[in-house]
Amino acid sequence: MDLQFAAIIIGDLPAEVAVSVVNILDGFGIESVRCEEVYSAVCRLREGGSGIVFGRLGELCREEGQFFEIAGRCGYFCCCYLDDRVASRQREVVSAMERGAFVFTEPSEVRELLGKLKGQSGSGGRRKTEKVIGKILGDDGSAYRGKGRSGGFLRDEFRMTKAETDALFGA
Amino acid sequence: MGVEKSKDLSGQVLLIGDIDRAFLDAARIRESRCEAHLNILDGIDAARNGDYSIVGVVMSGAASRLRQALKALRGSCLAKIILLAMMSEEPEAMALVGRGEIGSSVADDYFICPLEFSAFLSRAAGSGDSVSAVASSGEVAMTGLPDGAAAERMAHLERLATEDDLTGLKNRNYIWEFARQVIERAEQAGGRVTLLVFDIDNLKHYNDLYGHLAGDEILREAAVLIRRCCRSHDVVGRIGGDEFAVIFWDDPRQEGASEDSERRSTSGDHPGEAIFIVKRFVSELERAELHLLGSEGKGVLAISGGLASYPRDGASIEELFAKADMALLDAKQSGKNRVYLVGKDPGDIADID
Repeated sequence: MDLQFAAIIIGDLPAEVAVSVVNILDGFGIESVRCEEVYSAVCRLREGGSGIVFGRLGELCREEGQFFEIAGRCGYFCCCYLDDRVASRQREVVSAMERGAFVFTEPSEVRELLGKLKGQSGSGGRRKTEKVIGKILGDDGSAYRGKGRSGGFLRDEFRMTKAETDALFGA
Repeated sequence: MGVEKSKDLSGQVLLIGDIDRAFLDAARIRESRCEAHLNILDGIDAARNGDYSIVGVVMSGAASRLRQALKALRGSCLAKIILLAMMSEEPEAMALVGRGEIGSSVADDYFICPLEFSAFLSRAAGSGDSVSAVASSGEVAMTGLPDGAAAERMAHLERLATEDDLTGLKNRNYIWEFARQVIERAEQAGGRVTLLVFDIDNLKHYNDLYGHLAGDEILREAAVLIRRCCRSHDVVGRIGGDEFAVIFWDDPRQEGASEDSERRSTSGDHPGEAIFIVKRFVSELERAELHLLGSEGKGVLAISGGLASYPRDGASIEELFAKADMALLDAKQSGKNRVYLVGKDPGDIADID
């Protein structure tokens, strides 16, 4: 994997989730740094490279979700951890997904994502990595770069139908 | 999103937040060379990338966790950070600037808004050399920009306009305007405000007996004691000869992130907390020693006062002052040395003891 590729872990992920995610990242040879909140994370994003940002959904959605846009511009892809309070987070879930973020509830989903990334990126540098993430997201990378609405995340078959969304959120 | 870049290109001033709220001439700013971002994260990002001498942050609605945001902003650039605070945000602004508190500063200064952009620039220039180049170059197309000395004069004039020179407390104008803003804020977000109006018992007697210097000392001593007894964000003013007012308020918009938050949270007990503070003040006053009064100078000071709470006792600043004044009058007519609390019904006033 690209050496410039790094992970930023923001805020207060539950300890067991944070440990699992860091272990998974280690397994893939990805270095991780920690930022206290989205504000300091914005500064970190500007230090260069590309990579993945992990954080609680609520934290990443702060300030009207503008973090997703900035992360996208800086070449970072966001993974939002969603705890079991799905119903109360409905608006944030939709907002994050619309901005092309990956929403996960179990660290194993992160392993799956990174596995796909590793399988497809090889060692082609940052542009290649970006392309691969874009491909995994299934939207020409537009969602990843934060330039438009993705309509979902990962591949088409992972997208929820309206009926499923309604069932999940109780609409 | 939210980027408003002017046609000029000075690039030395960055504004973050709702500039329409903070500046009287926001349209002029858009025509100037300064850059503005509505969203604080965009602002931090811009500060990190740009080379700015000064960053102005409009406090209202700028960030859900302003202290953390400012800390990140501070870490992202070398610019001077100036907070643009509404009057009701001044106590929080003071805490963020960290006046008197070592190591707590996440901003360099704060200005009360709304203000004009030229005033912002000149005052910012007055508090640091790095910005003076911007202000004096005319790049922002402001005519007659004052230099550093003029900025100091402007700050002095502002103090004269808002402070009582004898006690250093806020003056009547400030108290009324602050109360108006804080009630407006409370109305919008469900906050609570309690007003205390009090005066010093028998001040005229001390003035006549010991001279006006002694009277002034009493006023200053009372000012020091009430300020010391109040919470840092409560606003204390002298609104007449021997009449003082205190606005106790709790901000429902505080989220719990700042150190001060518990003091301004919705859980603030109104008027319970105010009563507690008033009792402490009365007891401090009783123990105060006034040297100019000689042997009579200890344990003689007392106050009469009235307390009224929003929304319980009134919906406007005029109503609250009227009710608190009535309670004060009743306290005086009942023999002084007591503070009355306005109740729910007209005439229902009870001694806080």
